Amino acid sequence: MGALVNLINSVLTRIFDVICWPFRALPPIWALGVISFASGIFLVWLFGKTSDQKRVREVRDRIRGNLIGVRLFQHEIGVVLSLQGKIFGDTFRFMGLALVPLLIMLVPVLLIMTQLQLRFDVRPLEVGEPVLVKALVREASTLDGTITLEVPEGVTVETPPVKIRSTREIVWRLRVDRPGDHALVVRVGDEVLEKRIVAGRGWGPAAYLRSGHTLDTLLYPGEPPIAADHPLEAVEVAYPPQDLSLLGIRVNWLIGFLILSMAFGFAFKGVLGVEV
Amino acid sequence: MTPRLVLIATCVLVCGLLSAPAPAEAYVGPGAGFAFVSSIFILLFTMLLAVVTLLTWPVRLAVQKIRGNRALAASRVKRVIVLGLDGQDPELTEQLMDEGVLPNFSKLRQQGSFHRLRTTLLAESPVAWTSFQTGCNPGKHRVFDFLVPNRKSHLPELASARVEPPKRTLPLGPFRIPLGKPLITAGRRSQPFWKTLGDHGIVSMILRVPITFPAEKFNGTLLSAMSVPDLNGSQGTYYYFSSDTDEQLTMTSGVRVPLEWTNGVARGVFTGPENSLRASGGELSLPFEVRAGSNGHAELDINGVVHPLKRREYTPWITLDFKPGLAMTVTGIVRFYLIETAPHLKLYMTPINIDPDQPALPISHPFTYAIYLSKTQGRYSTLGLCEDTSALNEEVLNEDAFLQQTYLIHEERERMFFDALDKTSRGAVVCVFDITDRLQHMFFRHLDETHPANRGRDDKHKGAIRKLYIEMDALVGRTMEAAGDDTALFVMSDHGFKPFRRGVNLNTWLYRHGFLAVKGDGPTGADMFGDVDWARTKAYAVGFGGIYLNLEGREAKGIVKLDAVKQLKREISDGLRALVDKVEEVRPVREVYDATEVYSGPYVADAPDLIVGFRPGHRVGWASVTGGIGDEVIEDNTRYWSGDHNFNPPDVPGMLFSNRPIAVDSPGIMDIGPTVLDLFGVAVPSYCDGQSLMPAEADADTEDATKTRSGSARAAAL
Repeated sequence: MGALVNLINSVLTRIFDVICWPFRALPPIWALGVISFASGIFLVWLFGKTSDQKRVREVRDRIRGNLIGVRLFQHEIGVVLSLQGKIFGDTFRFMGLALVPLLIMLVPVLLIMTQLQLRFDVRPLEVGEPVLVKALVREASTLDGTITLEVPEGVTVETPPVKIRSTREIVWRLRVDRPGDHALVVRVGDEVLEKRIVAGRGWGPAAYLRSGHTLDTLLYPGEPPIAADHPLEAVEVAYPPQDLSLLGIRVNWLIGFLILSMAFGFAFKGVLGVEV
Repeated sequence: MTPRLVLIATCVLVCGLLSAPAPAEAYVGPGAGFAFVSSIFILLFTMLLAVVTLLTWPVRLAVQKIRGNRALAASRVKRVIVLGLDGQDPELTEQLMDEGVLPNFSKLRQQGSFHRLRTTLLAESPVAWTSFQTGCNPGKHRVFDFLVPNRKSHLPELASARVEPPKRTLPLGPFRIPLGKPLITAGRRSQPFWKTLGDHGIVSMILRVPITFPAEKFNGTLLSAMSVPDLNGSQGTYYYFSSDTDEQLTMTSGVRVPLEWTNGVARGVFTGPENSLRASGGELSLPFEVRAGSNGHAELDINGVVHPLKRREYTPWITLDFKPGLAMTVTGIVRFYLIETAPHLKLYMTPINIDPDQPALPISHPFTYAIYLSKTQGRYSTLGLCEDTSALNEEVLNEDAFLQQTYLIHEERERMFFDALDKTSRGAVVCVFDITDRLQHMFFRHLDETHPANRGRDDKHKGAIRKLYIEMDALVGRTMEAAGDDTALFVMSDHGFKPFRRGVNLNTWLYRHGFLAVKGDGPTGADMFGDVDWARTKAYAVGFGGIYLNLEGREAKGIVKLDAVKQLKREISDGLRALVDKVEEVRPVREVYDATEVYSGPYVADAPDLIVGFRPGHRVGWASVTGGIGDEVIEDNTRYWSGDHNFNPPDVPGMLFSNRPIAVDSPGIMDIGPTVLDLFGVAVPSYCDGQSLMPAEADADTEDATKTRSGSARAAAL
């Protein structure tokens, strides 16, 4: 399962790299806009294909009609309440009709989201910018042994490790002095684990977690999962958050994607002939 | 696994996924995202509305009580229902009641009353229903006929409404952007009774009463009927797609689209409304493809959607999107009827109705009422005369297809009507059903064995009218069930029906008697007065009984001087009264009315100068209606349109049933509006010619006393 997820992630990461490549010199909001546009269209199309459009249209029409009715028959209180009851019923009916498409759409949405998170949630480090690297061990007793962090040239470990038994963590502070994609090596006894750290390349993919859990592998793509028998459970680089702004306003990537994809989807649903 | 378990499992799975510890799952993308965001919004909005409704309920109740008490203080009913059955004949109804096949009509007669209802001059829907709604004679509401002549051009035009494009446009390259809405002028004057009711706080729902287009503002809802045009701007242009080039059809009301039917595929293009957005004009067109299927069925590919076509069945309403440019869309709706696929493809398409979901013209008040009906009940026919009598007359459709179409429309109307009853606990509901008129027009030959229209035709649908009356009886039964004790129910028709055996071409008669002159050697059969020499013409006929003098100063090319009018009228009247149909050995003209004697009001000058009252069996000939000069003065009517009502009004009264007794022995159609006003305690306006049939004081009167009263005493002679 983990291997399959890793394969899917690898393929998707390559695809998204290609999509984002033309926008690498522009602020990241541009790439987010283009991905939101494509996602909006694709997901509305998918909703159209996976939902019972005839029934969706019927129910939506009834809801709209009864909302008009509420306005038309204001003088008849009984009628208004009855129409409101019908609207309630139809709204739940509509949500029921959207359940199956929702389940199907969770898969592509999740995959898109993980790729967006990889690129827009955090940003690569700037040269000289300090960062914490945290390793999580499976057994607290592992912390009693020797755990070392080996860094390549251009990366400096600024502090000795801090061990926190209660959370099974060991933390270092680093500084990257040379731009590039560097490999950190965490050594636990004879076992080693590599974690990539990126600095000084503008915006781009920055995997802040490498984990042994399948779900984490799915949610945090970019690096292969940690083997189940490895003494380390996860390694995390605490990258700073990505600074996305639109017209001078800071935008959270998730909110931005939500609004943009919905707006594009809404704008094109008529063209696609999909009722949502 | 039962569906219930599947649903529960699905819910659990979704909840599980949504509660996973990552932001990604908080959103499920557009589509499902919309579905849930909008659903939540609707739920919140509806809950808010419900809370507001409930919180304000005591206040609203108090206000309603005060207003209602004021509005309904003198009211003797809570609700009035007027169920209009256009053209249902009292004589036939009585005959079938006597046979015992109309139990609900009989019950209504027993409970309340049944009378013949005096109709208007002319005895036809536009005139009669306008008098119904205004309580006035035509001299006050100005609707004298379906067609009236334009005094400048002499050409016949629709009396009830005129639609013109917006006056100002903005040129933009090849486009003309309209600056404003189409100009729609109502022909009707005076005021309908529901407007008066609304002014007094009593709300009405008015459905498909003829001559209510454009829909006017009032306190209630209204869906327009007769005179609502199709998207082409006509009163109903149907389409006939055929690959049979040998077929001989005389089509004047439809568009024939020839097709090549090769290997079970036909491709074509048909034209729809004019492209008013482009400076170069032209008509909007739509390509389509028909592909043969199995068992004589086919499929139609139009606007990128494939629709199944079942042989001899109507499709549901199909939306047609025309693209005039600038990303705009003009939408209409049609039904298709596949006649055959072998050896030829023959396909009928209804006129392109205005889409009620996004109406291009004001077909309802409020504008959203048409949309409400469309959204809650599905799309429906909006055309004024939506039953396509022309397609049957011109033999594109057969009787089976016409019947099917008419009943489909009737079902739509019933749904609207019962929805209106459901939505009105206090106030008036008026709905007119047209099926009674249209079916009798097209099937009356079956009630007259020697009718000329029977020649060469079968009697498969001999019982169509009987069945129709039985269906109407069932409708009355359902309506009676919906009406409580505090509801006054009226079931009425605007006129009766009789066979239309022979056509009298008034223009031919006027020509042969020297009142109408033609250019050249004689009539060529041209329509729209194409042959007429106006410089020598004294009188001409337009519509279903009107004769107009070519009056100097009124008609653009008028030659008749005022001092000659009286003599000319007398000559024409005497001549027509003396006319004899030698085939049937009868005088076809019962009476010729002088408009100045039978109408009163400010618009009498717009009326035809003379109105011919024909003996039942004889009606204005087809050629004469639209300004043609036929070969014969009197000729057989061999069309399917074999029944009519444009006869001398006393011969074709309507009918009036009520669940209450009425206080007169001769009610008229002009009395219904005043009666409704009076029942709600609203004073009848002084301009009305009609009077209440149920005056309050009559409640205490004895039956004998009521017999002495006569309805619409102030009305015109008829």
